[in-house]
Amino acid sequence: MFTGLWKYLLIWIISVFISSIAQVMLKVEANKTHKTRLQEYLNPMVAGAYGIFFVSVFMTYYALKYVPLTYSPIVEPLSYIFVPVIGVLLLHEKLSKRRILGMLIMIAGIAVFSFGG
Amino acid sequence: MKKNAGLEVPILWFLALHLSLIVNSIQGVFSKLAGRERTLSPRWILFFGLMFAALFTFAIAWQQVLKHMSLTFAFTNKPITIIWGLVWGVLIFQERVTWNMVLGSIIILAGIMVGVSGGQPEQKDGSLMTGGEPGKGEQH
Repeated sequence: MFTGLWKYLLIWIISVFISSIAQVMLKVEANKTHKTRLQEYLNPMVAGAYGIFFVSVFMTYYALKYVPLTYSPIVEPLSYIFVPVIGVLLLHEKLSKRRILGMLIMIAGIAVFSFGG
Repeated sequence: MKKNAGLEVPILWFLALHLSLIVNSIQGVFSKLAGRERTLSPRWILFFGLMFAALFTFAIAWQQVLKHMSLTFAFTNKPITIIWGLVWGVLIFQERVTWNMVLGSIIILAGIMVGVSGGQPEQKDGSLMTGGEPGKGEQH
């Protein structure tokens, strides 16, 4: 189904997606009350989130062996879509129209920043 | 804590968010400085160590910042690291800036300003979004 470039592009996109999940895991833990400051960091959720970041770095590294870095402005900003969507679905955060507009403007800005010149 | 009328979070936590994002962007500087050195040379070890120190500091700060705001609010501010990366590139590495980078930075800043202003959003159940103030969350 996915072959060649598409296969590695998909790996890169999955790596961005799982790191977005990890961001949500950090927020889930941040919402909890802990007895000590240390427990805010040393718990399975935060450890799991950083484990996912670690895996994500290697997935991106592997994908970039085959996918040109010029795809970065397309793939990396996906996190600005994934995180709010997952935030709304799992954390029940509400996205105002204004915030959605702001994010769309930012994604356009990232595209202008990365292309052209 | 004092709240800015246009923001979802107290102004001090908004500043803390941006300080943590500056630390996040500095991590790339140390990574690039390490990349210029011979692997395992004293300077490579120094810059690599500083990169991990920046990463560690950001991780600690990010978790505290997330306690005081929604994830979507924090993430709306994150692209500022692209602009900081541009600033470090020019100031430290004398990198060339192209017109699209300047225009893109202005658009990104505009997007952040639009996205973060407009006050406190509501949760789906109609209550105000606190972003998980300590004491209001689930006991761990």
